[in-house]
Amino acid sequence: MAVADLELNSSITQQKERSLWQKSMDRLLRNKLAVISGIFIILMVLVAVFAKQLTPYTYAEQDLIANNAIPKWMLFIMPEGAENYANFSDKFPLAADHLGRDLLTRTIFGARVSLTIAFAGSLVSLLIGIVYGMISGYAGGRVDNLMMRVVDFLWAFPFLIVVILLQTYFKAIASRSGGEGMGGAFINLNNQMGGLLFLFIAIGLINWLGMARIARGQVLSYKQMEFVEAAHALGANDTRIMFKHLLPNILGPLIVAETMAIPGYIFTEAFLSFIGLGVNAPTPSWGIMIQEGVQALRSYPNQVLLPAIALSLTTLAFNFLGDGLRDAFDPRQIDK
Amino acid sequence: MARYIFRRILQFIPVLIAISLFTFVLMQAIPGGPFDFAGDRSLPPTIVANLEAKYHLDWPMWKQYLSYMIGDDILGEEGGSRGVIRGDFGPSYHFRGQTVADIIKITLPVSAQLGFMSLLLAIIIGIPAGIIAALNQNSWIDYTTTFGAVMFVSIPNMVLAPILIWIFALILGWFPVAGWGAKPPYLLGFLPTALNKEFFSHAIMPVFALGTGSAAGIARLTRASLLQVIGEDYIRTARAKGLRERAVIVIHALKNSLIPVVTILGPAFAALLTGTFIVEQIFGINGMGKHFVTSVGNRDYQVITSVTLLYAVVLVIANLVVDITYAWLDPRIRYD
Repeated sequence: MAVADLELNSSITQQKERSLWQKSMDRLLRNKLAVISGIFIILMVLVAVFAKQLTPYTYAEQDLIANNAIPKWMLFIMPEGAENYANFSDKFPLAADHLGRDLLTRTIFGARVSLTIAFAGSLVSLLIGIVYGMISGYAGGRVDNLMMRVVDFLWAFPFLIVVILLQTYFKAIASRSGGEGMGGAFINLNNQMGGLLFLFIAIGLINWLGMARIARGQVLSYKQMEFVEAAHALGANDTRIMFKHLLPNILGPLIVAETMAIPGYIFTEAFLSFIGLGVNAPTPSWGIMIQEGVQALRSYPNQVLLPAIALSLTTLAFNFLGDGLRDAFDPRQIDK
Repeated sequence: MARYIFRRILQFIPVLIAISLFTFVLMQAIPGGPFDFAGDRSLPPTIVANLEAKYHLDWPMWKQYLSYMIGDDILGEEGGSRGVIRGDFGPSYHFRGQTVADIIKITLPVSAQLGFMSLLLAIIIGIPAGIIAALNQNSWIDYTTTFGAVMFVSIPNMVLAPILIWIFALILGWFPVAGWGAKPPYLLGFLPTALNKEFFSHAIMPVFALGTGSAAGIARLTRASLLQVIGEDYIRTARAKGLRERAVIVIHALKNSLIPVVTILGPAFAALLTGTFIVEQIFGINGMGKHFVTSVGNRDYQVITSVTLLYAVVLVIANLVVDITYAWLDPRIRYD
């Protein structure tokens, strides 16, 4: 009797579970802005993956005779008198920067950096946050209390200063290059990735706090439910309950929160690159390109526009998608 | 209430000690020292050693930290430091002949003026926009406001600032490209002495670049929070007893809905007040923001620790004010 009840119960929850996801997906697909943003992000990912095939030049290739070159049609956004000093060339479809590098190529390759940060930053913070938050929530009591006090404590630290300190530390170590052992391997890998690896670590290390709080809260509310008790009764151990039974249930809000945090990761990377603590030159990042463009703003406003538009559109798309996901997964909307 | 405030202030002390200790230790852990270079050339090791001895950098780290925090005379050492607790933040290693207190005295007022006006702009635009959107939910007003808010949240100030300069300073010529319109001495140490045309023409673009992002964030938050409050039972009660809609909104809904808004104002206040590197850099404003970035690169240990500490003090005080405001906004919250 009891077993039959249990089975009935779990089949009901499972059915409801599936339809919940489906309902959420339906709501998401009805949100036009979110769908357009999703498509835009997928396109950006494709552009970033096939950057080499899409661009006529490499991002570091210089044509010093054609520095600051602009195509003729771009004259309408240039300041007055630009025809007297500008270097006209049709070699570069959307102009060249002060070192004669193709701006379009660099913007496209810049998408690689921003999108990798968006996904790797989320992955690192999600992994640390989930494991930490789930252990804290599942253990409860004293352990939970202690683990959450640590999070509160770290929360009080000024985020940007810690990122700057961490990145300076990583960069100073990386500039000594190579060496043997684990550390040396990490540094070499980082240098091969143009400094991206340490950026992931710095950004991920700081953003897991929010995820840990959400994961803990979710675990606290789910661990009292019947299906967890049932799993206990059937002899599942704690690890299995946490990752097999609890994790799928708590993932929704975490993914929503992570999507909403992505623009922040992209901003942080752009900020660090702007102040010279981001990726290593000549790897292009929108932050570096904006910083270089600002220097030439008076004579060549076109140079800042391209990376600025790319950066804004990408964060805009992630914001709309995040809003759409949040509305779609909001439990208060379910009855509507 | 007085006891509550006193208890909170006591709680600040360990947080501030932890933040200063963390910054101090991590800063010193970064390879390289403040005297590695003079300009572009590296200094001979004997001179470096002499300079380090002069500034007591040859002391063990705990002693340097204590000397910085509580002063040399308490430690029983020769040396002029009177410690942070008595308002002596030590010398700057990079800007020879200037103390950290001098640097803060020059740059903080400028950053504070800029940050205060930006925050004011954010509140004046953000809260009304959010209220109007919420009261006209699902109308075109709501959609336009929400869309505009997401857009401005997505445009980072490193994009907004150069575009503002390009349009309003370079093309239209309405405002000066760079600089700040107030000079010391300041009224009460931080207020500009003359609120004239020069002051506002310099201020308007950086304030806008800095404030619109926060305004958009506040608008989104106000809208979401007001919508949630309007759905509560006590609003239905207020309507049921025949109150006019305006009274329901103004007296019952608005105050409660401002709680999450006030919550983010605390950190926003601290961040804006102590300066933002990018906006100050792009507009050529001599504010405190740059010291958060350049002093790390210069290994100027006492500057970075001091500005971080200052930021932390502003943050904890702002959060205390926020918590006190809660009690006024929601009478259910009491501190005893």
